[in-house]
Amino acid sequence: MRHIAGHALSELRAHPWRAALSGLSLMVGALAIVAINMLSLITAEVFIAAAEQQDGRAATFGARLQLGVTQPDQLRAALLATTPVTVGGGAAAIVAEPSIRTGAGRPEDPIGTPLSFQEMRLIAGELSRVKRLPVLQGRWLAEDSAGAVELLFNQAAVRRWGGVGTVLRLKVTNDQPAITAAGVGIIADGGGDPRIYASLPALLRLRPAVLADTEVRLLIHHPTADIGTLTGIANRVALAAGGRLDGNLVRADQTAYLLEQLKSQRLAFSAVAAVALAIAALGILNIGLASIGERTRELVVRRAVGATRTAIVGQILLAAIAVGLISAAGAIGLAIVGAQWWVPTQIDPATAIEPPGVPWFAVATGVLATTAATLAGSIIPAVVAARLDVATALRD
Amino acid sequence: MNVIEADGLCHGVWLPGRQRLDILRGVELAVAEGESVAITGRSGSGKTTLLALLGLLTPVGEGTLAIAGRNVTNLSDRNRALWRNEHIGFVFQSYSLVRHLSAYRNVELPLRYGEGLHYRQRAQRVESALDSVGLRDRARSKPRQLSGGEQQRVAIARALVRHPAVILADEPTGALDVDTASTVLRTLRTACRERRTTLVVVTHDPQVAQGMDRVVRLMDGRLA
Ligand SMILES: Nc1ncnc2c1ncn2[C@@H]1O[C@H](COP(=O)(O)OP(=O)(O)OP(=O)(O)O)[C@@H](O)[C@H]1O
Ligand SMILES: [Mg+2]
Repeated sequence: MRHIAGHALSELRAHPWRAALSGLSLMVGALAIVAINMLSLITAEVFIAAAEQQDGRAATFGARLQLGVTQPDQLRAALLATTPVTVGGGAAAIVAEPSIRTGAGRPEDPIGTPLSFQEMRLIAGELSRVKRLPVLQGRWLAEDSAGAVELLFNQAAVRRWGGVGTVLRLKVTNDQPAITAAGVGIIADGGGDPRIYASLPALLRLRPAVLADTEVRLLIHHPTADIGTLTGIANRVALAAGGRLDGNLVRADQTAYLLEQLKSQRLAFSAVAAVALAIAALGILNIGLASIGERTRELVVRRAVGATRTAIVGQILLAAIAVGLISAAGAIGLAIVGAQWWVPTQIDPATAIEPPGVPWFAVATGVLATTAATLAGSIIPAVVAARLDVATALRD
Repeated sequence: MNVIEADGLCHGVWLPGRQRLDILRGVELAVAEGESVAITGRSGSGKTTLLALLGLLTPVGEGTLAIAGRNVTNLSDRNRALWRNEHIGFVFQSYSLVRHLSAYRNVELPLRYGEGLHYRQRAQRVESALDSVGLRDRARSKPRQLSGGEQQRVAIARALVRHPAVILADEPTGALDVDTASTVLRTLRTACRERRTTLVVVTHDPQVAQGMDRVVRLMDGRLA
């Protein structure tokens, strides 16, 4: 048995180029599987990221909150009542979209210049954990900034107004004068129109009427909790805020629907990977059979001087497995380097897309599949070699 | 003691069209230890077929065969391989060396199958086998760097290396010119005589046949 390894080694040394080429083709095969899988993951991530940016992470539920004129401490109580969702990794936020025509302008504009329309969202709580809203520059709104109103800009708003440090005059109520607020961060929210996010607690302190005729939504995200539990929490939140839920809590994010849509895309990618693998296996089979044909004489002579069928099969399979293992190691190395360092550099940081990291499952699949392909591609030649007629040793 | 004992060996093949060709029809052969025998006969008389049976390359269909004191008539493929490895050396007509292995590795080949020997014992055996064919200094050469006669001497060293009971050779000088042929044959005979190895040579060359202890002729599927 220990000699079989020696024969396998001499087999590899006899045809180093052939061994290197089949190793390379195996490595390319394994990498193709990993690459196809990465591509599939990234494609899915592009859609999921956009969906989570717009509507919330999986799973996010939303409901309208019916509130009267609200005091800052009522809002604080409401946020406090959301605490139970943090158990198990959840988060909640209250988002208000004023129904009046909100306006904004620069403090340095000449007196009398009318404010121009600006879409605005007033937020409290952990919206950045409910939705995927990466901070591109600066920071997220402070939990409860004393006095000053903080602003976040999306990328389009940055182009319109300027970024971190920009001071704006904002009109958020009909009858009261505009207030001053300063940008503290830039976020990617996936929107194409300028949008400004302002801190609701800070605003409420200055303009208690801001929520008067404003649609207020409660958003609750939790990876696993059921809707019954979340509805209970939502009711307590509404109660703490001195109001009530208007309608039922309903699923707000689109990820489940998207994943369903992406299923066929994944299937197509897997089919391509399977075809790539089948081609690799046939290639190896082809090389294997050709080399047996070329080496018939040698193999028959080996049998004549005492090699058993097992020894011949072992020699050929072991050589193939050695090549397979070496190329698998190479493929794993390259896949890690590619996924860990190269792919992240290719993703625009101004998006919500998160690089998928090393797809270990795909790496394992790729390595197992190529090993299987190596075996499938070399078992037949090995069996053919073992079945050669020894008596022909005397006849060539 | 007889190293080879064949009794009523028959062998036939099926030709296309359900026709049977009986090549051997009851071969009787007994060869003693250290004896050398030449098998002659017309082309197509079945000499190679007989040698393949004696060398356990073909399973025995009809008749009985004992090699090196063991009845090998019904051995499995695996056991025939192991028995070949231990007790039978082959010298083929030509191209029997593994191309990508050096002369040393080629001679070592039988030692790397079957029962294992320690590395140092292997080296000793290989060197002494190469010595007895006068090619110790060519151990590192590849077959393509050796002349036809030298290649055949390496093949003889390989046949000798495991100290087999018998060496079977099919036209061992058939591909060589007259002078080289006689050198190779002398090498083979001397080595066998020194080790008291039984030698069976198939040949159509009267010169070769004459150098053997005994000459048998294959005719109509039988030995005479
Ligand atoms: N596998 C086979 N199928 C069909 N016929 C075969 C087979 N093996 C041998 N024969 C036939 O059996 C006969 C004997 O062949 P063999 O090779 O033993 O002859 P030989 O005495 O060695 O001849 P030569 O001196 O030419 O080498 C030949 O007629 C050959 O055609
Ligand atoms: Mg012949």
